[in-house]
Amino acid sequence: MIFLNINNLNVSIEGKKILNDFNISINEGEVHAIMGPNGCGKSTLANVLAGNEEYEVNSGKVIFKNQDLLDLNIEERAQKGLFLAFQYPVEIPGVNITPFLHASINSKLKNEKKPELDNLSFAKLLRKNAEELGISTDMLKRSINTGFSGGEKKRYEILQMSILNPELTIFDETDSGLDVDALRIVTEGINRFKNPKKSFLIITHYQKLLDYIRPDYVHVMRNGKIVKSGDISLATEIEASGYQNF
Amino acid sequence: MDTETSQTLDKYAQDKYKYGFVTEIDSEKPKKGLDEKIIKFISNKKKEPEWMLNWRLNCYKKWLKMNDPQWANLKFPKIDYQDIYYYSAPKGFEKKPKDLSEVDPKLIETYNKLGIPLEEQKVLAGVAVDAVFDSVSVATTYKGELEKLGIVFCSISEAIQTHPELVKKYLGSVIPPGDHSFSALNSAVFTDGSFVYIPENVKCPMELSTYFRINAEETGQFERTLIIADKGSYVSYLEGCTAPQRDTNQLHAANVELIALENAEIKYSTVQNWYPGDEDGKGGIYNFVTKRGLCKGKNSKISWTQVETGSAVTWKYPSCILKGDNSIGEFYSVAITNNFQQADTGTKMTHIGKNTRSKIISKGISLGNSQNTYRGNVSFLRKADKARNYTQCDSLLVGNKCGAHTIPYIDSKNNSAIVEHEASTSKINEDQLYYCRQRGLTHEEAVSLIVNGFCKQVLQELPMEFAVEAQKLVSISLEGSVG
Amino acid sequence: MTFENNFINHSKEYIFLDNETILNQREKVFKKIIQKNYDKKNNESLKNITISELGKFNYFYKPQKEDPTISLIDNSNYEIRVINGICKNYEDDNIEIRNFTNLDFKRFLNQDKNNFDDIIIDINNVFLNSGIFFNIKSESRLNIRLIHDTSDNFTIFQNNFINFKKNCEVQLEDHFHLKHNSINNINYNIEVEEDAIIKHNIFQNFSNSNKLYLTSNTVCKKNSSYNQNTYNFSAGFVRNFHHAHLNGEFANASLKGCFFLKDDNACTNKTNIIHNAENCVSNQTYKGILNNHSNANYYSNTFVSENAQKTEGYQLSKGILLTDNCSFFSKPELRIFADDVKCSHGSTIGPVDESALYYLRSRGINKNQAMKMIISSFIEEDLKNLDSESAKIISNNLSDYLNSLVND
Repeated sequence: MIFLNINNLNVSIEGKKILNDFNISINEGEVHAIMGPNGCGKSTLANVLAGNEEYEVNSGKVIFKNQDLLDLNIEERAQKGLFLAFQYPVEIPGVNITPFLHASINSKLKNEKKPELDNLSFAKLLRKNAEELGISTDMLKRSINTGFSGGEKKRYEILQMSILNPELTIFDETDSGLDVDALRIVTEGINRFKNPKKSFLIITHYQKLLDYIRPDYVHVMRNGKIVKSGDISLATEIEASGYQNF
Repeated sequence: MDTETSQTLDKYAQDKYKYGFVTEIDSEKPKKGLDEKIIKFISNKKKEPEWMLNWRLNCYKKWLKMNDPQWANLKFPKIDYQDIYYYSAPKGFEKKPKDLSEVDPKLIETYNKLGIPLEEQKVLAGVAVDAVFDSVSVATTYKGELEKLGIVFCSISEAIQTHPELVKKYLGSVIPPGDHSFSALNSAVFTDGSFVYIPENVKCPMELSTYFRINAEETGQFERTLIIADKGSYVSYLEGCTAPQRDTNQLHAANVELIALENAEIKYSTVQNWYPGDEDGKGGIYNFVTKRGLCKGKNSKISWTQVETGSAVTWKYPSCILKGDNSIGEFYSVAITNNFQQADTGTKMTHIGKNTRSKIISKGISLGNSQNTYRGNVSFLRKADKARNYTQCDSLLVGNKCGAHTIPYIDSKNNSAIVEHEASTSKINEDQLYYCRQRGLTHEEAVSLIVNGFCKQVLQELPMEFAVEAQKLVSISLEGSVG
Repeated sequence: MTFENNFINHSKEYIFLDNETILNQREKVFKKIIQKNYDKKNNESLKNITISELGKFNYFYKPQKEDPTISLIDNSNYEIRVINGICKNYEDDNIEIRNFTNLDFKRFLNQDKNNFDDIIIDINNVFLNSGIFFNIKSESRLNIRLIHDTSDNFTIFQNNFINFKKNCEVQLEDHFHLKHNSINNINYNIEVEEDAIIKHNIFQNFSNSNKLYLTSNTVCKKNSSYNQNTYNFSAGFVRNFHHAHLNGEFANASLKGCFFLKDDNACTNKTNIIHNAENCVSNQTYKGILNNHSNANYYSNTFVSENAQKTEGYQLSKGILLTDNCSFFSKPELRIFADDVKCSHGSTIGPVDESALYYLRSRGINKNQAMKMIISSFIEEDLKNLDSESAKIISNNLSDYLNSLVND
């Protein structure tokens, strides 16, 4: 099975080209990191994979679990097991996480033709996961992301990931705006969730995050494409001398 | 707008109204039209004392000299008051039935269908219901239990017989019949409605509720509700309403008066779901309602909560007169308009006493070809020292054929009073939609979730039993396909 | 004097007397006023006004003795003195300015009919006795200072046209030097062409025997920008009604003002912005301080038509009431027919912030001084954009006002 294969992907926004013959392959259970300077197209990649309608795919192919990903709309991709941990999770006042996430998980289960969760078993699942991530029940009562600090929002994203149980998780600069403690809590959550069936695409500007989650592959991205691939030593190289060598 | 959004909108447009059925029942109606004879007929049917009839006739004379208010942002043909039946009662309703065995089973069935069981073994737990069918009250549940506490909960026609002194004292004391033409009309021809009296220091242990149903064709419903909370008492009251689906417009012109004495609190909630007309704007109820509460005593409180989803035309401004020092007025409103519905709704907070406080939270959602207007008036009179108002009104537009309008009037004549007003109008936030869909929700589910979130501040003010219902109603008003 | 007397006795003194169409139109408008033929619904020009009271003035207009002037301080700085509604005719590479002649009747007839059923504009049309035509040429970069001198007892009914041509950048200032007992009913028709950037500052400070009705109707074309600020320190009555139409994409308009009232003075303000094109931004902000028995009204309105997607419209009104006898009425309206919009309004009315007052006093500042600091801070933001000379005028006016507050 092809898990994720991106082949010569070209993407633009409002006529401006952002991804330029972009290629990558990710297998089941692998952790990939994409690093790059600001404006290289990292976040665009994350949003195109999630199906954000603001971007225009000009050409190229994306296969996810043997299926053409570009044929699916936003929610169909999510139901297929793709999860995007947002760089800036949006605030949704008045909407509580419980009904929201309950509807989300059930849409996925329904898609997989599995029995849906009832209120009680979902509440149990939510509480268990929240406890593991050190999220207080008080925080579960608040509206989604509303009035949360940067760290709280990111923890909330990890909580949603652990409940929706995706096969592919994309972290879009999850480390941005986090202090060391928050970063540790978030990465512990990710590490707990890791197993040979799960794949990760970590998009980041700094090496810091990769100290906590060891990637199998590191790619350097510039001007809308990958310019170099290697292992973790590549990240150390960037940390030492920046992006200008690439 | 992307195609998906417009597809979802198209779906919304096919709104369905599940209370549109008609009960086939023989009813008694005098001829159409309004004159002194009809008023005498109504008064006679209700076996009213002479003072009541004179009061009605007096109001009728006032009405004759008045024109309908024109300032609202509403367009509808001139109402022909001579083409309406002013009284309609199921046959055999000479007297209110003593118990359900005397009530036509068809009527009980009607309320069952509406989700309001009247039979003793099935009644809603914790809610006493007065069921009004066209011009008459059919049944009141839990009456005995309330009587033990001295609480009076009955139809207004009954109260005129049993508690004339209270009715005489308070009827028309908050809404003077000469206020405007709809109040004069209602005062002249009101047929039924509820009467509540909560004695001193009694906290009413259950929700009191009236359920209004217009059934007969070309019939106006003119209900009159009067709620008096004596010193230190508390009551929570809920009003619900539906009507059959018909091609012609029907008139509903209610008057509701609330009086809160010292330290008393009244919470009045409405879930208004009159038939809104079809997707081409044909039919539906014209809803011209005057609701006003008087915080008469010190430290009293009146709180209005409304969820307005129905009616072809809504003209409604539940208001508070904050006369007692330290009294509190609140208004929480959700108004959803779809298809060709028009709503001009809001509130009026008049601060008279010292230290009075008011709060207004209004959420308007416009869809389809509808027009949705918030109109609010906050005024501080000279003596309203240290009075405060906070107003927040937000509008959401879904689609570009509808309109959202915010028209607040703010008048301060006291320099220690503080008024704060905030308003916003925007479309549904695309980032929020994207976020929800990334988590697997469909476009439609995401819209419904976000709109419910938008209304939450208001919905959470409803009594528990109805909050869930109201939430569903919001979703239905958006989708049409659910329910 | 009544409307009828004024109209009949002085009809020889108006302009456009030899044009039959205009005479007929005048007759018609005059009848409309007399018959009070107005739709009262949402008509702010009629609020707190009795039509017959409005007609009780003594029409007075005579050819002036003093000559109007125009002086060039340098190539880009003009000072124009308008005396009793008359300017000096002048033209150079940057600017053309001249008085209306009877030949301009077409322009007068064709002016934007959309004057919102405003009775003050109707009166202006009926008694019209002066008008100035300004043409600011393309690409020019100018500062124009316009001084309106009105002599004792004059009643000025003036209709001005300003055309800011493409890509010009202008700061226009209006100053009102009114003597005694004058009535000034001035209506501006302003056109801002593509890419023009206009700053319009209006200074109002005159004694209490004068009245000023200032109305403007501005049309903004593509990519243009119009920023208006009114500063009202007058002891006499002022009506500021300002409308802006955003008719071209990416245009922006801002109508801002502040007023400082005392004694029995009143002022009434209205701003109205109509979005007719996509991607436009608008802002309406009025702030007022009221003392003694003064009272003020502020009506604001953002109208977004069906095709004006991606609109941003903001409104704000703030009032500080210093005594129990003043009053402030505010009506911030939003009328929205397009869905992709961000519009908001905020309004606060109240006393001086007690906690701020307390804080300042706890630092040893006396009550009066603290009060002055808080009131100054209230409009500080609005003074930021002024050049040093204008800022000086305002700060002098403000300190005069603040000194008048001292009463303990």
